[in-house]
Amino acid sequence: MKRAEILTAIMGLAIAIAGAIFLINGTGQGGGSTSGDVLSFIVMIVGGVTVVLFSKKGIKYGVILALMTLSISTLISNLYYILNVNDDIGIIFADLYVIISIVIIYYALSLIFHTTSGSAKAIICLGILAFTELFPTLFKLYNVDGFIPLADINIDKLAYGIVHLIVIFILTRKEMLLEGPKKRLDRNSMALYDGRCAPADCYIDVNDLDKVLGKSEEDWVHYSSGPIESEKEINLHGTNLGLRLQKWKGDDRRHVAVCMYNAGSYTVPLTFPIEFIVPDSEDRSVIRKLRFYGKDGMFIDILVKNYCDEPKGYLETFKMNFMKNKD
Amino acid sequence: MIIESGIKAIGFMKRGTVYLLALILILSSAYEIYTVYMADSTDEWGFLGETYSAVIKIIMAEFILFDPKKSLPRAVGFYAMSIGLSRVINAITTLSQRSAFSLAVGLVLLFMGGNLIYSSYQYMKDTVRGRNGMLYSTCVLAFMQAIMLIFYYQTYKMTGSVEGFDLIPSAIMLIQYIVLLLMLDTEDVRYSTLLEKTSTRVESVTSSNMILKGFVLKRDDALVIKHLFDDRSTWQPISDGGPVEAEKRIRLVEGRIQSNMILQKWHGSDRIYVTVVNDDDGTILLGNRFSVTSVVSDVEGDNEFSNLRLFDDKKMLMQMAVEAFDPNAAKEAAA
Repeated sequence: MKRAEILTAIMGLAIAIAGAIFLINGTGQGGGSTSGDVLSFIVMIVGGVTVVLFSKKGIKYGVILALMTLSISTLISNLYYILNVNDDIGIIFADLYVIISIVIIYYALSLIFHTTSGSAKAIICLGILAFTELFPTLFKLYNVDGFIPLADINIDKLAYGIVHLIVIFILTRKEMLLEGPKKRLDRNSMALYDGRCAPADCYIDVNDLDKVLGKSEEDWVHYSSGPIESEKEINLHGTNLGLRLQKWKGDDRRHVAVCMYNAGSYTVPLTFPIEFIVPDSEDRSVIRKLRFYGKDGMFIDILVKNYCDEPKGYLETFKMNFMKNKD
Repeated sequence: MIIESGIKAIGFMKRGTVYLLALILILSSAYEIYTVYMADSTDEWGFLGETYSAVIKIIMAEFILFDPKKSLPRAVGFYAMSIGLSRVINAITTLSQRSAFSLAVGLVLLFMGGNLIYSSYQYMKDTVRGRNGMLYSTCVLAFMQAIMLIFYYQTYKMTGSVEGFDLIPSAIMLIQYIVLLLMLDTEDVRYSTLLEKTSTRVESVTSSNMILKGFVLKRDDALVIKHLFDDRSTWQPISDGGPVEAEKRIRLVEGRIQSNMILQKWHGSDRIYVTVVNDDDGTILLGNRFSVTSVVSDVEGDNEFSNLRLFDDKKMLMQMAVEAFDPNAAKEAAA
């Protein structure tokens, strides 16, 4: 099961369980639920089960169903309250909940019709609903000891609050976030940069030097179809790019292609057949730079460094040591 | 020479600031430990809070001091994280006092401290929030601390029920916030934000692929380009065994934007091969590559021309405006 499916199933299950708790508490002895409340609880149970059943359809589908379930159930119980109960303070809150439900429905519809409505409004509305249910309980908990007896009395409020927090959590996941202008600018500028420039401090690891200067093509990938006979990819540290050394059928020279490293899809911003490779030293152990010459003015310079010796942050060092131990 | 000295001085100041941040954390934690052992040890929560806060600050100071990738932005990230963590611990201590006032103050501290931790982590990961998140949280925390300090000071002045000594922890905390606010406004931190990095990337692409409207070529460099085919006395001969006979590098600067033009004369070719990259010191990979077969100036002489046009066999490649001729500068150069 994928992570998204698990999250969706948990969300649906939480909604259904919360609805069941409400129904049991509300229709039991001293429950006092109105028929509007009962209908809203049934909506929650049916909606929650539907979310679980359709969890394989994708997280977005599950979120739409969950938002619709929660908002419609809130709308039903509060509309019933406004129309049938005569309580000034209660009606003010019920009005507020109706407005919140409409906003959540609007966001759910925007997800269905792929409009560019951001998730912030839904998060705020769900946050208000969770806060109004959870805060009084948490405040009581803060002032008096004993979580379990208090939780036992307020189980329905806790369940309601937790359900909303789960939906908020899912709305903040990458799959549900609408890419803002900053993110888009970042992504596109990075793509443009990788296609047109390369940082001057990017380098190949000294351990890859043999792959570039050596004649052996043992660990190269061989192709039976197409013009390329064999190929080896080398990482350019400090950038998203890599070097692809290629042997073309019917050509004794090696070709070099600069393109995204370890990517499924990419374009090739630079490629040429190598005429000469000139290292800055004849002694391989002290080579710090390689110059690749092509024809007609084509050349590239590549720094050679020891990846292990380069300064790294704490997390990078941890990851490197972890990978070493794993190998 | 002056530029190199300036760069060295700036580098020295930046390193100094990194050590200063670590020193502030160590001193403030030393003071916290001192107050813990001087204060009433029956306040268990306060005792634990101050001790944990001091330990975290010392750990973060070590992170700053022994960071293999030591830099001002990373040091600011660690510094902000230590303050955020100490605020969260302080919030838990405040919440433990169980009153409506403690709840309100504790929740604000908890939220702001949490935001500072998250923002500093995001900042070190170079993602969107970062600087602004840290800036907002630090402003709120500094404001709260300033109010507390004023409140303590007024109580000390008017009633004397608070001793002058009690003002010191609040003052130290306020100084730590102010240092962070100042650091968040430094050029290094500012230019490490996502928007600045994006701008730098776009500038890099622009500078290596285009000559901007306002660009003016230095007169000395213009003379090198004007005489590409008849005078290469200032060029560096290359004897690496490859096809290049001689090479000349020219720096093109326009305000903050700069790029480097690498001119090459290859054996057996009459053309001049040009590679424009934004940094020529290290790996040279992607850039703007073209060959030049002729250069034409608007006026024949070496002193009066104001622009140069570069051509290859079939098309015009670019026109570069040239710095106006300064007879005094020419005399000085000749002397």
